[in-house]
Parts: sequence; structure tokens; C-alpha cells
Amino acid sequence: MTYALTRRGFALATVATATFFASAPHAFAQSLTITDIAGREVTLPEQPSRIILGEGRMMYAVAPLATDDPFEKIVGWKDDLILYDPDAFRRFETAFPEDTARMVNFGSPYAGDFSIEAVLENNADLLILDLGNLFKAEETGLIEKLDDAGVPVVFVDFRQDPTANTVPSMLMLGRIFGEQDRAAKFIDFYVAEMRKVTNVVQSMAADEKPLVFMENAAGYSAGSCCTTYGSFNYGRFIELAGGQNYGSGLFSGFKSEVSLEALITADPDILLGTGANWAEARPETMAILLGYDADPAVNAERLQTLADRDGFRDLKAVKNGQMHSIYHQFYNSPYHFIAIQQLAKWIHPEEFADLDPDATFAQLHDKFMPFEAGGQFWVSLP
Amino acid sequence: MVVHGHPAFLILKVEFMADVGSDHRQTVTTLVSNYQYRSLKRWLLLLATIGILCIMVVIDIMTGPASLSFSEVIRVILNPPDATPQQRVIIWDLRMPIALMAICIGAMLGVAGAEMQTILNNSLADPFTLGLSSAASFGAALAITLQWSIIPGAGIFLVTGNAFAMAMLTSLALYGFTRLRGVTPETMILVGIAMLFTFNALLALLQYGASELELSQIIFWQLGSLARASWGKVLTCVIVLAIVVPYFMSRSWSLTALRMGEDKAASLGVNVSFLRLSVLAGVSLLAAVAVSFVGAVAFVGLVGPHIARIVVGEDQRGFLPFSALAGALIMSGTSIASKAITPGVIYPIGMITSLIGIPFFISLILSQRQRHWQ
Amino acid sequence: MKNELAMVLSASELSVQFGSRKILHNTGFDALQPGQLTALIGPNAAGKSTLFRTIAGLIKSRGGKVMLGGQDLSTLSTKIRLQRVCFMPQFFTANAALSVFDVVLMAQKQLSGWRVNEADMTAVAQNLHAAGIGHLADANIGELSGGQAQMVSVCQALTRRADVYLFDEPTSALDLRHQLDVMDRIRTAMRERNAIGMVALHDLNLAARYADHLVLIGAGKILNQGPPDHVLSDPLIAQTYDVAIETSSGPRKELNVHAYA
Repeated sequence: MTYALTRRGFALATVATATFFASAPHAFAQSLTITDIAGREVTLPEQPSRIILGEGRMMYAVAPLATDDPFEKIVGWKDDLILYDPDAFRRFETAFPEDTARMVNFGSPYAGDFSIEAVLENNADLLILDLGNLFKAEETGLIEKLDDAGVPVVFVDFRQDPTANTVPSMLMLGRIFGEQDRAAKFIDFYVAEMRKVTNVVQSMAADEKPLVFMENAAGYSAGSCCTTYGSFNYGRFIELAGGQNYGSGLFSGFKSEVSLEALITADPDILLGTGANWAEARPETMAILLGYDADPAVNAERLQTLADRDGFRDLKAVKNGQMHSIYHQFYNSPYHFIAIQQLAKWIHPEEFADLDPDATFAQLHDKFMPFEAGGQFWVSLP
Repeated sequence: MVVHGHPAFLILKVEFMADVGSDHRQTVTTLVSNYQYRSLKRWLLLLATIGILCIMVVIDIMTGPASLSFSEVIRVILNPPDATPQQRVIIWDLRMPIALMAICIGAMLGVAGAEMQTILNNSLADPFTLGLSSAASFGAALAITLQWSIIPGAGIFLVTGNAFAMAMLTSLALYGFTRLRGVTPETMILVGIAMLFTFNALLALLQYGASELELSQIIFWQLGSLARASWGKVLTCVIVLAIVVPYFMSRSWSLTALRMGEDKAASLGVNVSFLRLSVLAGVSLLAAVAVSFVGAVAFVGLVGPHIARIVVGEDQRGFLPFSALAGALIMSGTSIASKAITPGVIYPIGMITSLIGIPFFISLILSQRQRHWQ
Repeated sequence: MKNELAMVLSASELSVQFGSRKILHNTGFDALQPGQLTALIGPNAAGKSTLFRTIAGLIKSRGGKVMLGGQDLSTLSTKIRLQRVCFMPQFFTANAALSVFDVVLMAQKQLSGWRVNEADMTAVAQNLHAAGIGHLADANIGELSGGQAQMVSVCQALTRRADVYLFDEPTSALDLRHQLDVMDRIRTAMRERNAIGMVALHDLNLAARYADHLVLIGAGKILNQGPPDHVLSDPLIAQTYDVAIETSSGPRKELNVHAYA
């Protein structure tokens, strides 16, 4: 019998084809295969909508992508944003009170294990971890066990090697949140602002680069000095901004403690420190309290106190007013291009006279953040 | 009535027995001169060690990333106003306190270890093995992570105060155990080790919730660091030593007697329980202050007395000072080593003392075959 | 010169218990004369060591007193009491990085003073030489044999000057020759110093030969005391030891003791 194109048959065929085509984009968008920052190929069976953030501070990366409703697809996080950047958390809270209230707290990021039970209890369909947790996650079998339970794990990085890993991390997050367009726009912004610095620096000779010392969490606890970066993170930011990072020449690791005597002997041209609002967690800290709720008068005083420390006041950087403090949390966010711009201004003021990091910061908030810029994120000695 | 040991009588007696022993007299005088010779040797060794220690301190002051020549260093020390501010800060605020702190801490730990081993009759006793260092680390971690102060109103001395308080409380607990009937020094060691594990576990718990910055502080505290030395702390250590050591020295014979066994000591008139208590108090003070200033430095209190035992024996008149000197030597050497590995980078001293101490510890265990201990 | 008659040692109504265990039951002994050696004999766990410790003041008695030269010893401070009563404990081994000379010197100093002078050293040397262990002076006490360690312990006791000496089994680890030597030394020393000596012994022959006086203790009570021949021939001793006891006169007119199970 021939397949007669009866009217009925034709109608059925049309309906079938239409249905097929209608569901096709949906079927293709269903599963997602990505390669994460750890180089792992991960397949997400469908667009995740119940995501757990391994660090609350990943919101710095999520907010630019899902600006209108950043918490839509997030069920919980570790509480480091609340503990270590309370100012930023409050901004999120004011903008999204119910969402921030419903966030499930999975504990501190530095506490060892992620509770698998808690993950499953909340019906999560994706766990995003920081690259620094890779070893632990593999060793404890976290990844395997979650895999068995049908919850994929992906790794991002804004800390170990932020300047190399921010772009791929944002791309990946864009795909995860279904916001590839926004991700692309952010990356354009990021690259453009970074190139404003690196284009100028890349033609500089080594002897044009002043010696810069970066004191991590300066004044965090009284009487201890100093932890500094190697050629990583803030150390790399310094290098990209056209400075010679002290730590890079001394050790090959990520961070190390160096003696005050070494600092005095090195007598750097520029002295930097990081600061953040740690006063709520540690009232007696002497650190510079930078952030959205910073008080410039308080910070100016604190910077002067740090400059008056024994051994510091005779440094040429301090005497020349070349002592500055910058926001600590840039070390773990995709906004470090702002830090690099400001570092460049300090290190090479003439070459970057036209650069305006304040404006860049304002632009970042205008285009990509659910709240406005404000507060103080860097401060210098007068 | 027999004359008690009067020299004249003895000479008389010796002469009277002349026919029996010019031989006898020979032997007696030989014995005496042998002993005197050995005593003299001990004193000379002590003096020589003091000399070596002085040299080590000088080397320590000379070591550091800033290359200052010997004459420059001397000039800065003798004539501070003449030097540049950098040199003054480096020598007077950094290198000198660190070098002096090293020998003070070494001496404190050496003495603490020596007397702990004496009153507990165990060569493995020292502030570390009895859990005092772990308790102090825990106290420090409490301060670092939770800002809990054991001593109210400690302010900037929060970390140090907590460490000190925890160490003293642990000593008290150890002492409390000794008051329970049927507790021997062996049991006390076991209690001490139990404390060590308990506090290490609690410490791990605190680390669990700590931030990155807090963690690095705790770890540096656990491994020990001389970097936070200051003249005030050096002075405190000197005062504590000046209080405790003369007391211990005045009890030299009683402490030596303790090593002969409780019975023997008691029969000589030693108030054994009071001696143990007072020495424990002194040892606790030494250990608590030392650990609260530099963190948990392992093995100095173990190895120092061990060296002293080999070199001068356990007559407390020599054993105690030599333990202090040996401890000071170890710490001074460690201070120099930690600066010399990579100039500028600070290595935790506890790491280095452990590296030196572990082989020593093993050789100590192996040499137990020599049965120096009941 | 002290009044020799007054320097006698006696005890009455001594009661000692550890927890619920009674060790000494309201017991005592009559005056022991200075210059004489008394042997304290009795079975194991009869309370010999406890009696010694009570006399020395290391253990407190409930009621009763120990009198020396008319003075109640409990009125003295521990320190003074132990200067007048020298107690040599039963266990004598120790492990420490100390030489024989060191430990005897320590006993000689008796915790007083820090410095050691010529007189102290000579006294110790004399002591060691007289005991025949001068050659061990520099030996480490942890390396001594049992017998040698015991002899050092005896030296430690004899180097002290006291009014009363209590030796708790000073010959238990010694060979025949040294047993006789030590007992001889002790008896001679008591005579020379006009001190009261008490020796706890298991060997009844040694007791019979060297002691001027015997005290028999059993189950925490002093049962008999007197000259050796009296105590040894009294049936009480056979009962206490649960053996049959015969005495005879030996080849050199000494008293020999024979026991039969």
C-alpha cells in the first residue's frame, strides 16, 4: 500500500513536524557541557536553577550577569560575604531583602568539608566551588559522591590566578546562568579597562618599574608584619600595573611572611596595603576599613597610624607620601581591573594621568550592578 | 663521744691507722681529688658554654637581610644617635630583642623541661609533651578566631594573655590530678599527653571555622615565631627567670634527692609533695610565659636537659644551669638558622626545632636501653 | 656530753591504718639503749617497714607516741626529726645520671647548704673506702648491680650523723661476705657513735649474731622483745613465723638458729 497523502495524513504530518521543530530548541538547550577552570568536562543535564555558591563572594561575579535578579537561581551559599564583606552584603540585602534572607547557609569556606547531605536536602542541581577547593573536593570524594547523587560540581577561579581565569570563569558562569550576552558585555568591559593599563605598561623597560611592597591585610592584627604576595594575585596586579613586586623576587610561592627588617632593607618606592571592613568581626583591628560603608576620615587616621609604626615611618615611601591602601576583596573578584587601574595611577602617575578609576568604578555599577557605587575603596597618605 | 667528721679528727684517725694505710689515705685523697677534678671540669664546661652562647648571640645580631658589617653593628649598639634611623630600628628594635628573646625563651624552656623531668621522673616530660604548649595554642586560637578573652580586659594582650591563662589552667589541672589518690608520675605523663591531644583536637575545631587570615595567624602561632619579640617581652622573661631559677637552685639538693626515689628523698627530709607542687608552679610560669610569647616551640625543653644530662650529669647544681644554657643555645642557633635559609623570609622556628629535635628524640628513646630511668 | 641514760628510744600505743587496713595495732616497744643494735624480726607484711616509717615520722600514728631521750618526737618539725632519725628504706635502686660519690655526698649534705667543702668530700670518701666500694665512686648508680646499690644505700645512711638509725633490710641483695661486712659496720658504727640502731632482718642467724636486742613483730603488734637468746627460745617466735625453731651454740660460741617447716 502506498503512503497516501490523504488530507488527514498530511495534517498529522504537519502537526508532527511542527511539534518537532517547536520542541527542538528546547531539546538542544536542555543539556549543557562545559569545561570548567579545573579543566574538567562537566555535563549539566539541564539549565541549573538551584545553585549553591561555594563562596558567598561569588556574588561579585553573579551580580553583573543576572543584575535584575541575581539570586533567582541561587538557593544557598557559604557565609563569607556576610563575615568578610558586610558592607557589600548589606547592599545586596537592601536591594533584595527576601532573597538574601532565604539563602541557606552552608558554613565557612575555610571549614573543611561541604555537607553533601545539606546539598541534597536543598535539591541543588549545581555546586560552584572555588578552584582552591579542588584538591580537598577530590580527596574527600565530594565530587564523586555528588556525581552519584546527580549534582554536578564546577570550579571557578578569581583568586589563584585572577588575571588569567576571570574571562573563562565569567564565560562559564554566563552559560550556567543562561546570560551569555551579559557575560560577553562584561568581558568586553573588563578587557577594555585592563588594556588601558597593560597597553601602556607592556612597552615599559624593567628599570622604569619602581619597587612596590604589598602588605596583605595591613594592620589586621597589631604588631605583626608582614605577609606579602609572590607573583600571584595582588603581586601580579602590581606587575601588570608596571611595578616590580617585592615578593616576586624573593620567593616563588603565592604568599609568604617576610621580616620587617627585609622591608626596611628593601626600602620600596611605593608601600601598599590591603584593607577591608574587618572591624565588625575583630573590633580591635588596626586595619583600613575600606568598602561600601567606609568612612574616609576614619581611614585617613588609620592609614596615618599604620604609617607611624616602628620601622615604617622612616621608609622613603612613607616620607614621600607613597603609602596607599586598597580594597582587600579585589583579590577574589572579577573587578580587580579597577584595582589594577588605581595601582597604575599610583605607580606611574604621569603615564596614567588621564586614567580615572573612580569613573570606571561608577561605570561598573551603572552597567552591571544592582546597586549604586559608593564608599571608599582606596586611600592614600596625604 | 665520736667527733662528727671534724677534719682534725679525720687526720688524726688517718695517722693513727698509718700502718694500715698510707694506702688508705692515698685512696681517700684520690677519691676526693677525683671528685674535685670532675667538679672543676663541670664548671669549666659551664663557662665555656656561656662563652659559646655569647658568640651565638653576636652572630644572631649580625644575621639578617640588611647587610651590616660587624663594625657598623658595634657602632649602632654603642652609639645609637650616630646611626641612621633604619639601622637603629633594625639593630635595636628588631635584631637585638629577637636575639635576646631567643636565649631567654631557650633558657626558660630548658629549665622547665629539666625540672618537669625531675619531679615527674620521666625523661619524656617537657612543656610540650604535657600539653601546656597545645593548651597555650588553643588559648591563642580562641583569641584569634573568637576574640574570647579568658582574662577580662586584656585588650591588645588578648592573644598572649589567653595563651598564658590556658597554660596555667592546664598546669592547675595537672596538679589537681596529682592530688587524686593513687596517681603516680607515670599517670601524670599520660594525663599530660591526653591534654595534648584534647587541645589539638579543639584547636582543629577552631580552625574549622576560621577565615584565611585567621588561619595563617593560628598556624604561625602553632609553629612558633620569634618575630614578635620586643624589649618589654625580653624584660618580662628576665624577671620570670630571676624569680624562678634562684628558687630552683636553692632546692638543688632536694631535687637531686628526688631522683633517688620518693622514699629516699622523704627520709632525707624532703617534703616531696610540696616540692613537686612548688616546682610545678615555677615550671608552669616559665612554660606559660615562654609559649605565650613565641608560640608552641617543640623539643627545646626535651633536648636541652637531655644534653645537660649527658654532659654534666644530674647533680642539680650543674644540671639546672646547663639545661638553661643548652636550651638557650638551641634557640639561638634556631634563630640564626631561620634567618639564614632565605634572607627576608620568616620561617617558623618550631619547624626548625622539630627538624633538629626529632632525630634527637629518637636517639633518646633508643638510648633508654641505658636505663637512666626507673 | 649528753646524758646517756636519757637517750633511749621507746614507742607506745602506735596505731597506723591505710584506708580501712590496719597495719599497726596499738603497739609499742620498751626503751632501746644507745650504742646498741636491735634487730626487728617478723614475717612479711608484719609491719616492720611501717613501724620504721612511723618512728621516722614519715607516717602519722593515730594516737600513741615515739619518745627519744624523754622527748616526744612528734613535737619536732619533720626536718629536725629526720636529722635525729635516719631511715634507710628497703628499695634502693635508682636510675639517674649521678655517680655513687654524688649520691653519698647528697646524703652527707642532707639538703643543707649549697656548696660542698673539703670536709664533706673527705667524709664521703672515707665512708666509701671503709665500705670497700671506693672503686665505685665514679660509677653511675644506674649501672650498679643490686648488691652494689644496696651497699651505696647503707653508705648513704651511715654518712649521716643521727641519734637513731633505722635500716630496713640492708642485706637482702648481698652475698655472704658483704652481708657480714655490712652488719659488722653497722654494729661498729652504732657503738662508736653511741646511737640507737634498729635493723629489720629476715635472716634470724644474722639477727642472732649481730644484734644486742631483738624485737619480734607479728600482724601489726610487737609480740616480744629482749636479748636474742630469750626471744629466740620463747615459743612466741615459732608461732609468729609458723615454723619450729631450735637454737644451738655455734663453733665460735655464737648463737645459731635452726628453723623447721
